[in-house]
Amino acid sequence: MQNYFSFFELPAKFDIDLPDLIKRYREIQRVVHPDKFASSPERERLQAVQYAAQVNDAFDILKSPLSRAIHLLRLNGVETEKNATISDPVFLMQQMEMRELLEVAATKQDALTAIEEAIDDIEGRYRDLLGEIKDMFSEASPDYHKINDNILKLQFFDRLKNEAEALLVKIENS
Amino acid sequence: MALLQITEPGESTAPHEHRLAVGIDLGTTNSLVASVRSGSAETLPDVDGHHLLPSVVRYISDNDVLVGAEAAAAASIDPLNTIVSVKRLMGRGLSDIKSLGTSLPYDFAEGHSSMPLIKTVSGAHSPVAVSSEILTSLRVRAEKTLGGELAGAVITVPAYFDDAQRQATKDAAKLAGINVFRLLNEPTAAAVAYGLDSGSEGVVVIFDLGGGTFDVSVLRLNKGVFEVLATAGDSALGGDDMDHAIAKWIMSEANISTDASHATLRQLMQHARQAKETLTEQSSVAIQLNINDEHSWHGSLSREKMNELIMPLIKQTLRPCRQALRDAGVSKDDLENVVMVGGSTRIPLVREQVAEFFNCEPLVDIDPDKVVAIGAAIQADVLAGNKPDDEMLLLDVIPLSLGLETMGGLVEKIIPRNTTIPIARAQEFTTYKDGQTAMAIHVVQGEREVVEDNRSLARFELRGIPPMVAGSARIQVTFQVDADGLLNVTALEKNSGVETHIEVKPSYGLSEAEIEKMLRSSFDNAEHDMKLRQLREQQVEADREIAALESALADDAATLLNEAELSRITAVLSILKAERDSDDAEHIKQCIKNVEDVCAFYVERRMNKNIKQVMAGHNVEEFKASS
Repeated sequence: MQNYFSFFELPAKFDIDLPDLIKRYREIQRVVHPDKFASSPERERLQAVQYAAQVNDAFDILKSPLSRAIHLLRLNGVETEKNATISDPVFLMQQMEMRELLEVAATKQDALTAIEEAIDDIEGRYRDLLGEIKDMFSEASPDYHKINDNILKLQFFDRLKNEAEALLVKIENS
Repeated sequence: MALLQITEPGESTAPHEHRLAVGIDLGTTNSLVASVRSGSAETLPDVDGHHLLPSVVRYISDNDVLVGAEAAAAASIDPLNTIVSVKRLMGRGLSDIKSLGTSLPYDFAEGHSSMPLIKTVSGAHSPVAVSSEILTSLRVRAEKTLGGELAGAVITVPAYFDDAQRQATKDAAKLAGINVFRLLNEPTAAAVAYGLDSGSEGVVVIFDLGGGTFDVSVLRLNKGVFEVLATAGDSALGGDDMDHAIAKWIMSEANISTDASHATLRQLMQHARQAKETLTEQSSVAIQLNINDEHSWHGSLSREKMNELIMPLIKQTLRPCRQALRDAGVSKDDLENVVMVGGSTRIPLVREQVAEFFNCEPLVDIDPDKVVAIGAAIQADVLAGNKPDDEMLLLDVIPLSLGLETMGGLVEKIIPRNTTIPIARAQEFTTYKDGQTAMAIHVVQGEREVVEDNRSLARFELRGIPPMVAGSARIQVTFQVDADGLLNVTALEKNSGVETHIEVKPSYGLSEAEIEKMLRSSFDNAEHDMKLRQLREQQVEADREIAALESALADDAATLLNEAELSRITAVLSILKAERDSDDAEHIKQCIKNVEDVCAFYVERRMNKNIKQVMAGHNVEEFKASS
């Protein structure tokens, strides 16, 4: 299984230096990008496309905290299901409330502002949860299963945010 | 042991050889070719000093073709044989064209794979063939001006062009005898020209409104790195549509019925375009119609009235702008600049609307007609190898999501839009019948949930799956999008390791066989010229292989290869060098393949070494110094 951290010669931790990752990504791309092989033989061009694609994938996964966390969990033997249901009853209540809020916002006079406010709220909760996840990862012996539970919640917020943004687009374009 | 030519790492075996490379803007209304000469990029004029080549092709009865101004002059007297705005037909099927709205005068026939053919006096031509005439004209102009054969070209395409439209552009280049280094997105090309000229850094929006296409791209510029954050647009929206709106108004004012002749419609469009352009400077323009002695009318169009007519079209450009900003995760306050590209951005109302939307005065002092070709020329110069130490890096994205058709006519997205390219994603499939040896995959492009609402890209037929019990085959299909934005599919049955053969059936394009056929028929002395062409192609590839290998060996043979490996490589290399001058294309091809097979491990080893070096904080310069 690919360890995307080692690709960039970084330690496998959740808390990474993002500007450093970006710098490493660009340095590798300068070496492997197909543009560097435009006048080279076909074999090298094809190889470059493969490498560049891998680097882009690795960078994609590591630059976003959610996918980075999922990758770290996988490296530690815990698989995150994509659409798993969350059993935490308190959170389930929260889910329902937030969904309702969104539906109400959409019917308001100033729906755009209301939805944007709802998105701000979702983003705030997302950030808080990420902070929690970061702390959990930095423990001496992280509880990967508990972290996974939090990730499922993060995924829910992500989906809800996408729905909210889709609503925004619909209203803007009507 | 053969003496190896020792050269500096990073340089070719002929370090002072400057290769002729050009950038080509193949536009809807006008096309241009540019090149870097004496360190600066400039567009190349024709013998009369004109830089712009009208994208108009006229077929004349004696198998002759006119391209450019001469052809444009005949557009209204010979509408069926004079093809304008052919870019709007590239990568499209017949049904698309019928629903395009703007009345096209051409007589269409259905070709293979639903690609429309335009019937003219000299036969039925595909849009690809028509575009190749424009490209040929530019190639000839460039070769004459630069004094030699072109090593290659960078050809620009709208960022919002889908796979079929891109492939059609590449096919046209092949027919025109042009080696394409890269297809480059127009907004990215403009960003390169603008960025290098201004030295600007930060987040920039490129608003590119041309004759037939609209793109908006959000890029981050930082120390020679041009990173596209998001792109959006409409590949069927442009100045032509504004001309059409104005023409319709003229028709209603002048009481011309909508089923007027093609010649009349053409003339109306020309009047409309003329009026539109005049209203950029003047606040009103007089229109005098005298069409075929049938319709005689004179009136005047005010800028106010024109604005009313074209406002809905301009509003249509704002939606993609909103989407691009959102996808990029930036707000209007984060923007360094908004750059206007494309002839249609000269229109005052366009500038006003853009300024209002982005809360910022757009940059209009770069030539909106030339900037794309200039950017392409800059990249072509780098790709040709003329600037081995150049640090420029272009990171572009795929504009539309790629998905697979699944059960029930739904789409499963495999690569989301705005993913940085190149990118590869793998998906595993299995068989549903015992002994099943073939399988079909339908790939679509777009954002919708249902297959019909997206754009069909192609059907891939996998053959040669080893027969097994149903459900036990593990077929890994890899979808790879290259730097041109083109999709390539490979498949591997994991249990047996068998690579399945894939037959591509493009939904809106020509198959390999069809292109070869067109190439063949374009030569007068078909057989002989075809062979000559193939021989040259193999010799060029052999030269590339030799140059690359010798440079690599000089660089790191000592550190990366043991005795046995080195002697195996030098052995096949010697053979290739000896056989390079043979007149048997197949033989050279085989020698190249032998070298590739033997050196595959070496190429990979080098790539890994270079990556590790850069990660350890070294770069090639340091390594050079220490060796």
